[in-house]
Amino acid sequence: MAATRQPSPAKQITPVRIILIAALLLFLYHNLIHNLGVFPEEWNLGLREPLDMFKKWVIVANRDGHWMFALFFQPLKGSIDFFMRRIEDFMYWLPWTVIIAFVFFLANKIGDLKLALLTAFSLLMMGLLGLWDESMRTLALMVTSVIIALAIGLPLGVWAAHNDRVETMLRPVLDAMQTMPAFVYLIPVVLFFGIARVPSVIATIIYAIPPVVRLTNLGIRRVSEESIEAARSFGSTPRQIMLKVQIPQAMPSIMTGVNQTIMMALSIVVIAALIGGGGLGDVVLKSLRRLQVGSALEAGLAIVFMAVLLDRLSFAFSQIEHVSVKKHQGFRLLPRKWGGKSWAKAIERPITWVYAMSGRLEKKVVHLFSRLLPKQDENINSAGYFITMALGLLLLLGISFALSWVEFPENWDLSLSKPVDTAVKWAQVNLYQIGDTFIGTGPFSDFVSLYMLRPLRLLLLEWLAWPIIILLISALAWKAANWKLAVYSALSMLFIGWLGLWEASMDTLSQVLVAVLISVLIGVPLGVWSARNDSAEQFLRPILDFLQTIPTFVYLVPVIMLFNLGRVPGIMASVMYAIAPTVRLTNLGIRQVDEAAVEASVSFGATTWQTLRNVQLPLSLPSIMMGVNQTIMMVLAMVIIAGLVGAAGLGFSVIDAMQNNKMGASIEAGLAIVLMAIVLDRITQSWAQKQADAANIT
Amino acid sequence: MLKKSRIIVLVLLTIAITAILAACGGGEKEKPTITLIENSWPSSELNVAVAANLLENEMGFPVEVISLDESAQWDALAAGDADASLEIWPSGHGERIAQYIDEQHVVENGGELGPIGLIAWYVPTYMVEEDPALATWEGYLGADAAAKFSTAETGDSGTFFAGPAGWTQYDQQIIDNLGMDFKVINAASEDALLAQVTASYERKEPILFYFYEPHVLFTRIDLTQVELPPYSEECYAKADAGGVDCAYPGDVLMKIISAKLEEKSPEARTFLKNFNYTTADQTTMLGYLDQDMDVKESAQKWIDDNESVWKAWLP
Repeated sequence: MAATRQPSPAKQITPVRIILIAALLLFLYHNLIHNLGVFPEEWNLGLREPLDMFKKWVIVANRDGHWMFALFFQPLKGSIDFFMRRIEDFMYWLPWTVIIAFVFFLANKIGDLKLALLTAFSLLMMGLLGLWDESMRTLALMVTSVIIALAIGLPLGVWAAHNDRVETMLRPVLDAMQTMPAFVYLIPVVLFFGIARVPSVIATIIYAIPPVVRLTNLGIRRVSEESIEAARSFGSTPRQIMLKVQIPQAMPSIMTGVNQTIMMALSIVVIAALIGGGGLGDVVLKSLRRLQVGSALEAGLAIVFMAVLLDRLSFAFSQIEHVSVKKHQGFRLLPRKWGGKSWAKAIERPITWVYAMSGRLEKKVVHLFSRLLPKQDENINSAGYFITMALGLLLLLGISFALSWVEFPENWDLSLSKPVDTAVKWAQVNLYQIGDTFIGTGPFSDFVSLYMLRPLRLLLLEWLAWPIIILLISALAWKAANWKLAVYSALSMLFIGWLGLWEASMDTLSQVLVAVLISVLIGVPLGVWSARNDSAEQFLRPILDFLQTIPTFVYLVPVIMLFNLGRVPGIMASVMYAIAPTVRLTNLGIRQVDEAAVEASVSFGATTWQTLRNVQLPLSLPSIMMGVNQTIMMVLAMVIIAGLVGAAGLGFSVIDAMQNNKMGASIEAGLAIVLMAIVLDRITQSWAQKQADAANIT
Repeated sequence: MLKKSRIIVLVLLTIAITAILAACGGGEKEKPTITLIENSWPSSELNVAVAANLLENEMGFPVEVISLDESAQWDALAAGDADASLEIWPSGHGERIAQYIDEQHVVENGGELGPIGLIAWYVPTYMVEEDPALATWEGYLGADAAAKFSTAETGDSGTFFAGPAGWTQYDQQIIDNLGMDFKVINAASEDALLAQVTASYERKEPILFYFYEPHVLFTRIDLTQVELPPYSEECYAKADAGGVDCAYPGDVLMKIISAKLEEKSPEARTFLKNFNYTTADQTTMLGYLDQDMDVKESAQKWIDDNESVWKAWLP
């Protein structure tokens, strides 16, 4: 590609080549003449001692009622705790019937009957899995955290959109918040905010706030200059412009941010249970300790259902503007293409009747309350619905208390734990090694360990000394973007060394590379398959959704059972969690390839395979690269989980330090993960961007 | 639309009401709420269930139980956010005992819980049935023994599965000093170690590992303790120089109490310090758990059957 744009000969001297030659010379020197050795220990910044001293100081300051605690943290703690306990009490007090009915009617109004049934079903499943109370506690945690996160995040995003300096300052902070493993700030959060509800809320906010800030900022910045100019020329004040023009136009982007914030908040539920967050996360942790994979899976499923519920509801809210005057044509429940079938009509007829009746009821209610309502046609419509709904719910509340339907019935139990436990027991014996062959998870684990991880670790730690790796990474960064990124990457890698974590980081890097490689080897073919086959896509989508939302802790025990303690189970868990974006974006990329290009290729007599290899894959490369970028970031998010299953490296350093009362050391390891994540993210993103630009030019 | 001033008044009103309610909630109760920490393993949950039951029903305290990771509980006790944790294995918390109890005096040593933890090396019993020599440490000397226990991670050496790095472990020292060819792999969490042991057991594979009693694992699978040279104080005097070559000392389980509890409720503190029973009591309750009783029911049954034991704890 470089050759087409630069007519000069290919042997031109570029900075990237100079760096590469320097790296090569160093490589020869290191391996043939004089070993460059490990990263010098004298350069260690020694960050951990002051951090540990600070922690000791905080402990005493807190006990002695230092003003910082007396005037700030204690009142803050007290009010959040109070607020949350009231929400929790209210949720426990409400009969389950009322909660399900409320969600059903709400979803029916902002979405359609299908959404209403789906959300009601999700809630019902939480009860059927025997986890109603725990789910309500987790829901209370989610609601509080998300409300506070939005209350902080939205204004922050608006501010960043109006002030470039704020945006520049926020960016690295948001990056760090998103990539810093939550394990690292658990202890500091406990130090300042105590245990149980409040620290869980704080930890959730730290982790979940970046998307809403980012996408609010982005959405407002993308509002076109013309519409702002137009508003200004009509004499609008800046405040009016913001409220009437910028925010409404940025709404889709903002709502995407809100949606992502909700999903990220849910993904921290299990970690929050480590500091007393309780609820579903606690069920997962306790089941794991008893090796009850089945009941951990049940709690994990309840979390998946909560994700479905919150995801679809918040999505419907974001679409509300577009469908406010939607009229129902045809079926409410079944697909329209079944319109001709008489049995389908028979199912739909009562549904239509119920809607008609409730419409009439609504009108009567509106008539009854007409004096209290403002005289505006559209609003009367919604107000009527919500008043009818409120009355209906009150009625149901009365009935539920009268018939004592308050607690979710215990004998409605859809227990999955026994069959799952049996299946896990079967798998750990029978899938481990099939007969005397080399097929099975055991031999596979040995293969990955011996022929992928070990050579790569050897390469990164012995054949390539640290200066060579820093040079190579900066060359890569320069090639992907510019000299700024090269300097930035080199400094970040040096900083990791200064933290005294070079070896652990290279160990982690080798695992990340193997996990990404396996994800690509499995993910890209799956993506191609689903791009070429609609039913494959339909089949894969729920599986991918499931893998992304189920808490990773749930499959921690099975991966150890199948792949043995060490680095491999961590890699397999990472692949399961991180494969989804690669599959999705490969699928998307190939589906977006111009029909004409494919047809041209076919008309020249190319086989399906040739078309795929020479036309479709190259053209969808930018999209695939974006998928790989996301996969890399998700694998890095799994480094801690890998540490939990015994993989050496940065994740293990974090866990080890946490268990040994060494907060400073765990923060250092967390910083190293953040730096490595940012470097890898910037390089792959710039590379994908460059590919996309090149594709657009040609 | 509401006027701005009205909104402000509304907000202020809400804050005021909240503050008043909060103040009422805190001030009028006779006895303060006692917050107990439970860790995620069953015997810890049982201790806490027994204590919570007695504090509530016999002494009239409101009790809140919070599940917390072991590494987070010390800071919670130091700040007074929680009042006590009832099952500490000192071997895993040496550094914290030194800092929080001895140096900073923010956490109080609550005395012994009663049961004595036993840390040892274990193999599945089927290994010993196949080769009786594996019942004692001599059976693990030599290349053949090492090869039997080797894995891809350790190559020719045998693999020794050890617990999380936070636990006190002298396994590599013992291995080296007794002249075995084994390498230690640390499971980062107890869950991970349990998963590995259970899976290997189900597959009837060789596995040698570090573990402790009392634990529910022993009711599920059949394990044999590997006999090491007997424990002596002289042997552990050599620990700093890497010279340990004998069995582990017993781990006397202890309770830890927030230093702030003395001021908050001397009565509850006395009760928690008196709380003390035996390994047999714990094992009895663990047995109830296996009979499909939940933690609270098991605790209740033990309380019903052992009135004389717990009567002595009440102040």
